[in-house]
Amino acid sequence: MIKMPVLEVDDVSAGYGESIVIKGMSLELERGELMGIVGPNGSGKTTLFRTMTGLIRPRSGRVYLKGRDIRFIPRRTLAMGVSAVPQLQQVVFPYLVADFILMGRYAQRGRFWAPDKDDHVLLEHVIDLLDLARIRYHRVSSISGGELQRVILAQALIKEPEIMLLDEPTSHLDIKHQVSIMDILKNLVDVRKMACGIILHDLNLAALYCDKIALVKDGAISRMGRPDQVLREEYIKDVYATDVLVRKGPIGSKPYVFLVPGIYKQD
Amino acid sequence: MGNKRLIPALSLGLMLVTVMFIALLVGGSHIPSRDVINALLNPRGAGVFHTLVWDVRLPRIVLGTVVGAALAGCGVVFQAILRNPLAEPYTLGVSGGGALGASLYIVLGIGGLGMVGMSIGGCLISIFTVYTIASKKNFSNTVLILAGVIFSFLFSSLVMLIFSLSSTRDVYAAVIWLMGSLSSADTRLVWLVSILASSALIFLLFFSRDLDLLSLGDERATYLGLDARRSKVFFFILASFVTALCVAVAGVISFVGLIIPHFTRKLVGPSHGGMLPCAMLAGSSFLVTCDTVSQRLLRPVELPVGVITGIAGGVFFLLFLLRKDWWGYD
Repeated sequence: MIKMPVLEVDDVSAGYGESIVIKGMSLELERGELMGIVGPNGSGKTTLFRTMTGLIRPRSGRVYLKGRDIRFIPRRTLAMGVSAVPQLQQVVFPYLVADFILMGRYAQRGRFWAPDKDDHVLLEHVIDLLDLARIRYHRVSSISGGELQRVILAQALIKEPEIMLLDEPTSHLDIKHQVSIMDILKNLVDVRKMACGIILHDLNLAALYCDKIALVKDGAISRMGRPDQVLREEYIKDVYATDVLVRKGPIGSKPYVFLVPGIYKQD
Repeated sequence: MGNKRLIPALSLGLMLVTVMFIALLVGGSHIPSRDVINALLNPRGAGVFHTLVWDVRLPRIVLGTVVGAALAGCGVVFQAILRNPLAEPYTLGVSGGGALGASLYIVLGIGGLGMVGMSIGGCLISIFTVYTIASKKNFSNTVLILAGVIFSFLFSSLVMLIFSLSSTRDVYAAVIWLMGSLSSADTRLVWLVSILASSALIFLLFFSRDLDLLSLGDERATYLGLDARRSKVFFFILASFVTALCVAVAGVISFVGLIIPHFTRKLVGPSHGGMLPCAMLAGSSFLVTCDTVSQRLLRPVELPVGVITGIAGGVFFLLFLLRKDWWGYD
């Protein structure tokens, strides 16, 4: 069977107003694939994310969802298949956690809808999955950043998407929840053949979980491939302009990136 | 789920009916309760009391109900789309334009459109200006709010300019109008505005889910399946027009559009499906009550209802804010 990418970014340049942030980027995301997008601050990862989700229109180039130009897909149709989770932002109004998660069903159910049995079954499922039982009756304005991040993931997962795009979903999480969320995503990718693109800052987390890593530098993709092909000392030094050591890690023989603090840099 | 929503709405509805009935009974002038009820039971009757009840009190109460619901409902809408609990119907400059139009008419005698026409014209100009500016900046909340604040200041400075060049008596009349009043002289106008505004409000109720999504921010709303920009423009235009109708017929009644949404959010939670109708009902009760108080408090002098809503709302809000279990915006 010929593999066809579910999401294809084809030679895309994009930015805001006058400025162009990403230049001529291309990448493909396939079913059953977990792709990590890594790169320094300001390298254009979030702009790439917003282009992939259809939030901003490319200045040139195209984004295709299952072969269809994303510009011509109505928002609601797009949201049915694609769950996108932007960077964490406080929620202003004090919604109940359960009500907040159920808003994720809008794309499927539309505006004239009251949650029914099916929705509640799905709700229970994601609450279990993301370990939210304790805070389900809390308000989203009064929970911690890490809890909010999991609640937002629950909102994205409740629509059972085919594709998930996430911008730093683990930034506020402790190690237990980092692992549990990456495990959940990995499981959905392996078992349900979901396609998942995820922006990460933690190179080692990316190495442990991703099938493919895109290393972004100055608005372009500098390297792309399996973790061991991309996470190499010379590439990382070049992109991040910082010293690192890369060794084979003890788990699954994935590369492990060690940071080098200034005081150890003498020799 | 259904019950949780229905009980507060029903209670608020019951409260509104009670408040309206009391307002009919006690109004500005003294009419024996028996005569009020007699007049109500005989729609085709005649006499001074009958005229007072049917042509003065009833239109005024209807207007109070509609304007109260409209201001509270629009307050909810603006707070949601701007993601700002301090937003209210006047935040985006609608009232500034209305005040300028009204001042031009009252003080300078400009305008063949009449008082209502001039103020609604002013409102429309400010809506159009803010819309045009925001549309160039992708309707970002910051730009919307800034444009609204700028035009509010600009218009109120122009109003002050007009005042500074005019006679005391005209200025007095304009100031009283600015503070808001429900004693509209024209009954037909009251019915027209009531029908327009209440149909718009009922229409609005069907979009409460969109408000839920928009209140999470444009980007998140987009990812959940809403065309955030189009939806925001829709709410902005609809709520601004409804506010413009209120301003044109009742002046700038303060505070209803700010505190009632807060009060209702506290009462039934922030989900708009429950909150929006409850806010409208609560806004009606509040405004009709304040209007009755404004007529009775220093009888026979009638106070501008905006003063009463301001004082009552301010004190009430303060007590509310000082409560320990206040959740939400710390």
